[in-house]
Amino acid sequence: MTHDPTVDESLAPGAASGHGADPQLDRINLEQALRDFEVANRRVLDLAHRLASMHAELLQTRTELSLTKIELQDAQRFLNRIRQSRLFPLVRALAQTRRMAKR
Amino acid sequence: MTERARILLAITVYNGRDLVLAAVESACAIDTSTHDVNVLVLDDHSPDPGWSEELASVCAERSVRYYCTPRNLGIPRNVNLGLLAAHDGGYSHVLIANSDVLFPHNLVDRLIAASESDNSIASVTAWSNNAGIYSIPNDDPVACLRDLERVSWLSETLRDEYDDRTIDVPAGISFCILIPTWAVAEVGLMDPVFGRGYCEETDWTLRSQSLGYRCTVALGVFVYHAGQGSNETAGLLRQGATTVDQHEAIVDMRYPTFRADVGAYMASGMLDDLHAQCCLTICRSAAREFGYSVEMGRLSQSGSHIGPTIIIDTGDPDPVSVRYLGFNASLGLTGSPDEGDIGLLIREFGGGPPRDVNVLDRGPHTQDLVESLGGSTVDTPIYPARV
Repeated sequence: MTHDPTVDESLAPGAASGHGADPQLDRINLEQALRDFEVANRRVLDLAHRLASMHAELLQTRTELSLTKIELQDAQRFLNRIRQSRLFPLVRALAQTRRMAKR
Repeated sequence: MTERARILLAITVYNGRDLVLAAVESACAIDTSTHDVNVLVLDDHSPDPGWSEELASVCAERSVRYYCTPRNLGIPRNVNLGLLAAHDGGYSHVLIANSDVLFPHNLVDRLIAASESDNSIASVTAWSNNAGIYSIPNDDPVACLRDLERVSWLSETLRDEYDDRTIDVPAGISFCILIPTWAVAEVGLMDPVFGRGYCEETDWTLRSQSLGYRCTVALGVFVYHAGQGSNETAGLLRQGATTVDQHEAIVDMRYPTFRADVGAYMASGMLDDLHAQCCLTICRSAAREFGYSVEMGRLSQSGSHIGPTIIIDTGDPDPVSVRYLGFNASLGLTGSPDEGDIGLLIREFGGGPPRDVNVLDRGPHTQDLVESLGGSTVDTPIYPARV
């Protein structure tokens, strides 16, 4: 069995196979369909470029975020080391005394 | 207006067997004494078996131009076909309309008058019972308004009050919108990005505004619109939804201030005032033209009032209201003695005494009011007279 290329299988079932014979509207319809196709195609190309560019930007942002997270973790570790040192309570008490003396 | 305008009325159809024939009939009954109107039915490849053939034959009988697209285009591209046909055919205006509407006889005359009242108007929409914020509130539009002569009477009544007056609105609705063909050339077509439809006319009117043109509603014309039934059936809308969220997102992205503008517009209260004014105008005209009844009592009867009826509910702080064909309006009386004789004020409103006064229950001032109103009185207690 061969496929008949003249049969449009995408037509909805029950739809009229013929249509209002109107050469002016047929012409307008066809011309506009071709324009719509061109516009849709240009939009797809534009969106594809923008998608690619946004994807690159996303990767860059993710990398920056990861690096910033690593820096933050380093800073937190350093801070914890300071807080856990034996000198830290003494330094804090001194700072407190100095603040009270200033008042 | 000295020249006759040439209007292409493009009715977009997708199934809707129950409603389309009435819309086509009403289109054929539009008054063409002042302007030329050609009707074009654009069948967007309706899948309902046999429907397109039936519609084509109905159109042929009425000498209405009919076109069925070889494939389904979706609303925006089907509308574009109408816009392009009008532009290509040398028409001065194109009127885009849904197929679930009833057009009043004065439709074209009023929309053209509104459109030509200012040459920066790029679109004119009509009042309706079901057109978003441009709907005049009605209790039961299907039962009360789905009738061509009633719709035409309503439209004529609003014309008498507002003539060619227009108001600027945030966006148009294409259930029935008149666009001069110069505006099609200037603003362009509906954007096919809106797929099967919804929000394309919002985008179009916002584009027209960004070019400095006005988007308006004509106050002197009313079109009946059944609503979104066929779009739900076709899967275009979710059950119970009134719009397509993805399309709203596109509008939000393109016009970030649009929602705030609509909010500010609504908050101004101008539309609410106009709705109330329209209801009052309709009820007053009906009372004067067809006569009216008065119903009095603390326990007013519920139910629809098809004839003009003035309700005096003495238990209400806003005791005098009027109802007609599902429209409700307040006469703005409080019942205070400073206002003078309420009976006289009601007679002035109705242009004479009521046909009958229906007394549902009696209070201290009932007899005085009945005498002041005149007309024949019927006591209809809504509870048994005897225990």
